[in-house]
Amino acid sequence: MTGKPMAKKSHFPSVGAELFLRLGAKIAWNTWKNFSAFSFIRPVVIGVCSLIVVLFVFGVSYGGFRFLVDQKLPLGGNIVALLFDMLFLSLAGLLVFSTGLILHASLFDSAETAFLLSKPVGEDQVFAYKFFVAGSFSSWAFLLLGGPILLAYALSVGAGPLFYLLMPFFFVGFALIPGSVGAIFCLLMVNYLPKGRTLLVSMAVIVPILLGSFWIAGTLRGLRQGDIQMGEDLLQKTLGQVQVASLPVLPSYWISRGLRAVAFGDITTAGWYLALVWTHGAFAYLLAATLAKLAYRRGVDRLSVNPEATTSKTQAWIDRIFHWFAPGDRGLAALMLKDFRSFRRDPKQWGQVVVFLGLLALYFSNLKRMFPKEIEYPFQVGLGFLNLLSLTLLMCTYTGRFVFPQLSLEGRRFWVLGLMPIERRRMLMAKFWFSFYGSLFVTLPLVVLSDFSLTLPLSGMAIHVGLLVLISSGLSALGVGLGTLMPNFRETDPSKIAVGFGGTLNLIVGLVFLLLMLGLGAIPWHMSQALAGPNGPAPGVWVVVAGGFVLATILGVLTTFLALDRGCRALERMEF
Amino acid sequence: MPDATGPMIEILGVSKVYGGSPAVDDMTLVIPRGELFAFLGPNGAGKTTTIKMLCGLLYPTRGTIRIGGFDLLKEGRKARATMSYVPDLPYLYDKLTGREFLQFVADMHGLEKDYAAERLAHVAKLFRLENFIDHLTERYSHGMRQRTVFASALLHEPGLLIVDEPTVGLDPRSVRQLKDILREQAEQGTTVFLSSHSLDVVEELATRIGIINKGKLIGLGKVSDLKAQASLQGSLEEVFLRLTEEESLVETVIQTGGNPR
Repeated sequence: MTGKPMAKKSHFPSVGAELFLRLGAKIAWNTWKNFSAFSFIRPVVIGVCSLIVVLFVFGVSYGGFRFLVDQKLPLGGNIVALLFDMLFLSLAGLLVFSTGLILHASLFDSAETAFLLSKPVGEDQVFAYKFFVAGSFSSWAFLLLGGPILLAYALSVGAGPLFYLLMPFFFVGFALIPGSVGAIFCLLMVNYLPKGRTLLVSMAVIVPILLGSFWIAGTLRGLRQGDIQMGEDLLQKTLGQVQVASLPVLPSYWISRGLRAVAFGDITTAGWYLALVWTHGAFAYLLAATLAKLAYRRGVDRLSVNPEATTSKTQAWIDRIFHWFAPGDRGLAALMLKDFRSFRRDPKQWGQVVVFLGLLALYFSNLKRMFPKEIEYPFQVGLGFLNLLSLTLLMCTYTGRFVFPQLSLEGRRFWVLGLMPIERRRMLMAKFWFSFYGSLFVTLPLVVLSDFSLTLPLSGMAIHVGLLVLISSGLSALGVGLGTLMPNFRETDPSKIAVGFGGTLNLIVGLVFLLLMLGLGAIPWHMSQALAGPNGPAPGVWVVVAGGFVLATILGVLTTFLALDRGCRALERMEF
Repeated sequence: MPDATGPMIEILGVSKVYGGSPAVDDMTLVIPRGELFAFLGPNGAGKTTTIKMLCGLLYPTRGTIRIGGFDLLKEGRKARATMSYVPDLPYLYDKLTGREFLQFVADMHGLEKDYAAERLAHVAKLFRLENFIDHLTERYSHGMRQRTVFASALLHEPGLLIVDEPTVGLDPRSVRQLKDILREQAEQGTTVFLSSHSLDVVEELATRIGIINKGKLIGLGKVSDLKAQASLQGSLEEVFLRLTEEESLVETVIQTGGNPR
């Protein structure tokens, strides 16, 4: 038997970046071409929400810069320098983590990269492709926050066209540095971190985020205490507190100084800092790519050799606690415990929840200290509403992301549950209770904390708690019910199920429900309190408040009942 | 410079250790060019680990693997350029059509434009992709996906084709066609490394068979050699069961010191 000759054609190819660019472009084009009318809803919703954020940040920033001008403070001075330094340092920190996390998922936990690694493509090329994708995703927040602030600044100082021309170059060059640092962290952790890395990685992400947040909170408190009108000494003291953000060795300092220089027409200085940003960005990327060439494949191997530690044979204490509090009989509790275990053993899911809720908890607990002098009552009431809104929006997002795909994922392994002597209706109820208790468990303490910090009256707190219970119930029922009515059994990735047709519809219905609930149940009380005169709200206003809350209760109960009922009926009829 | 007439696969004293226990234990296996080699073993025996090491997705803890004369650790890219791997759960880009996917694979292998077009047309015809090749792969059935992946694997005329459980989910006609294609490939000089639980397919196709159990190669040779080793004249199924059972029995005797449990 003779073998075929080794090289008939180009068997040692040199694949360039253009191949992956073409791939990305082709995928984007095909996605665009196959958009149905409904598919446009999601990008339109994202676009509108982004626009709202951009306009809001722009408005606040522009107002802030006008305020500084009114106070006769120079926009090229220390205050603005400090703010820019802090802004870019914070954004750099976020970029390090977000790029690192996205890269970890796409380099080490993706079927696509396993496919690419089996082809004659260099590890550094796969890395470059994934780095580009991760960088693009993680830079969105950078653009949405940094962009409008800088535009407001440019308009305030009357910057020339060169500012607008150079701004994207500063952004991209700067984003390369923290992005590369995040990539290097990711590669080093996968290659060198000891076993049981889930906890370590979680700590490595959560602890710096919380420390950074404490630092920012402390700084803001300092700025507030050092009221800029109270004199030069206090201002210097405040500046001293955040000296670390203005260290000249930091890339945040370079972009901050460079952009300010170009805004004032100092081209030489701007050019110097732009070169500094780009040379360091390129060098950092080169380091990351070289490390990827040396260690990426080794990391893939190491992850497969050192899988996460197996769990104990005995029931974990956290499961026992969950089991005690689970409602219903043993069957229902067992179904809920199964979902709970799946959730807690997937740090990618609860990690995001912990970070977001941790940040909210930090913000709520600092509300009083950030405003040491009593803030006006209407503002307290307004802040209370915004806090409730942010918590319920978070709840809406998470029920859409985690609860909606549950039944679809169950479909693939339905033979396990489907053959058990348990009514299908009860399986659905188990998912509902799990979502309901889970979302209340994390949001209820936070809303109480927020209301205590703002010293809202008990009536407000009661309305907030009542609404949170109703909203949690409605959103959970919608997630479970619509997830059953519109399952996607072909997809195994919950994030893809959540962004599909059903997931998008669920998100929109959830948002409408949420806004209606807040409109009926919360706004009457908040308006009555905010507009109250010195003798309290007008006498008849309680009727409106109570009526609104009763309507919200009816809406919440009806939504819960209808969504669960339809979901249960659909599940009874469903064929797997 | 590798010897173009030397063996296609050289697995020399290779072990792979997962958390202290070996998934592959001191394996030595040499497969010449143009052989259709079947790799059998019970679940968890180390088949997929071996295949992943052959593709360079995992590194051996000890030992050396050479593909077409290229050391996988030192010249992995050249080694991968000579081979194709069809996993049990193949990956396709949902938002690419079959044609675009094949073109992407051709580009990754650096095929010249005209040659790539010629090969693409050939494999599309060979695997009967014409009716759906311009549809997005997200709409493909399991069989259509499998055929597309096989087409992509043969696009660059690999010297080595590694396939893991290729017949799972295929209808009888597709299985028949796949068997014909694998046999033709081997006849044309491609080394085929086939891992499968379908013993009838293996018995029908394989030049030689390797049986792995608990990471060790416990049987190697033609069907007749394995029958002799197992002292059986029955089917490959009986031989496979006897050999893997004996291995388990030996282990039990060693663990219990010969005393019944």
